[in-house]
Amino acid sequence: MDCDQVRWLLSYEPRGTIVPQGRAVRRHLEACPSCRAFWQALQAVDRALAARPLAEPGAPLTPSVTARAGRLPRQEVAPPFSRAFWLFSAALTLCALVGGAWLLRCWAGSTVLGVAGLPADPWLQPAWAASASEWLSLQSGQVAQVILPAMAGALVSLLGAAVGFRAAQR
Amino acid sequence: MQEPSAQLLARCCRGDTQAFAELVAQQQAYVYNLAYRLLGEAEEARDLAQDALLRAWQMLPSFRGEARFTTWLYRLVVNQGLNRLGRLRRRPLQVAIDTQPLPDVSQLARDPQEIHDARERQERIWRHVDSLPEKYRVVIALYYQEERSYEEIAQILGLPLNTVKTHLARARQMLASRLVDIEGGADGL
Repeated sequence: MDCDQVRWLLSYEPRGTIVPQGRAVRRHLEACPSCRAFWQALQAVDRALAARPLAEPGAPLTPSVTARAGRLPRQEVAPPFSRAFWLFSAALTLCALVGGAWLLRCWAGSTVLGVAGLPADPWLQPAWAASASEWLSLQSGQVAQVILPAMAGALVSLLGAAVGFRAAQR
Repeated sequence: MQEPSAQLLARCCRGDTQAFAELVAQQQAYVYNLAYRLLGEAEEARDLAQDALLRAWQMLPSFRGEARFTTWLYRLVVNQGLNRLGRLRRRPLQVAIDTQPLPDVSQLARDPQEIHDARERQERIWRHVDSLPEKYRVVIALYYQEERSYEEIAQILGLPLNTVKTHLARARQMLASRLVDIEGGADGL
């Protein structure tokens, strides 16, 4: 290890180091008075720089800065969701709910079954099965009229929120 | 270096000018010191410090707390200072800083001659620092006077971590080499 390498490694030692890391460096310092002088100089530099007082501005800055601050416009951070966004989301959700309910009602009606070619009169099925099926269809239809539009509205609201949040971040 | 309290920052964000005056009083010495180490001139440093503090006032509502407030503030100082450096011509540094009272070195030496020599060495080192390029002066100020970590210095200056370490190592090597050249060999120190 030559003197240039040792000096470069010594320059990387953290401030306040008394004994350098690295056995090879320490061995070199024991044998080389020039690098020993360099190491002592480095420690003197550390001490001097740590002891250096802060530069002072002379007169305090506070009066002039605060006087000017009162006249300056400030950066306003816009809320992530604007009023227009909320109104739009509410209208879209409402439309999804109403539209979904209407579509499901039409689908559950006999006219749709007739158009699809399915038998409107379940006379081929047993009576109890037909009643049960009708009852289940009615229940599931009513539940679906609420859940499906709500899911669609929630999805639209989440997408809109994500877009609005991203825009606000920018 | 004093990190302002969350309450003080919240008041400043709400537009409380009295809170801002407290903040400025707390931070002005450190801001000015960094500005001076960067620009090397007292008047320019004063202007830079004022502009940086006013800019901080304007942008404080957007401070989200991802880093320490002082790190964010010093970043403003450095960015504005680098813009100014491009317009300034390189001039000899003023020596006003050297007229400030020196720290007590008497505990380091036993007789008046040693005290005098120690003080001279300190002043010599400080003058050498002032003659270094600004990228080294700023890193030295942040590392020694502000006692910032390498990572914080890298964040403030917007530099890679290894670049900060290299700048510091080079600056220290230059200073130590100059000191050895001036004062002689091992016995001179």
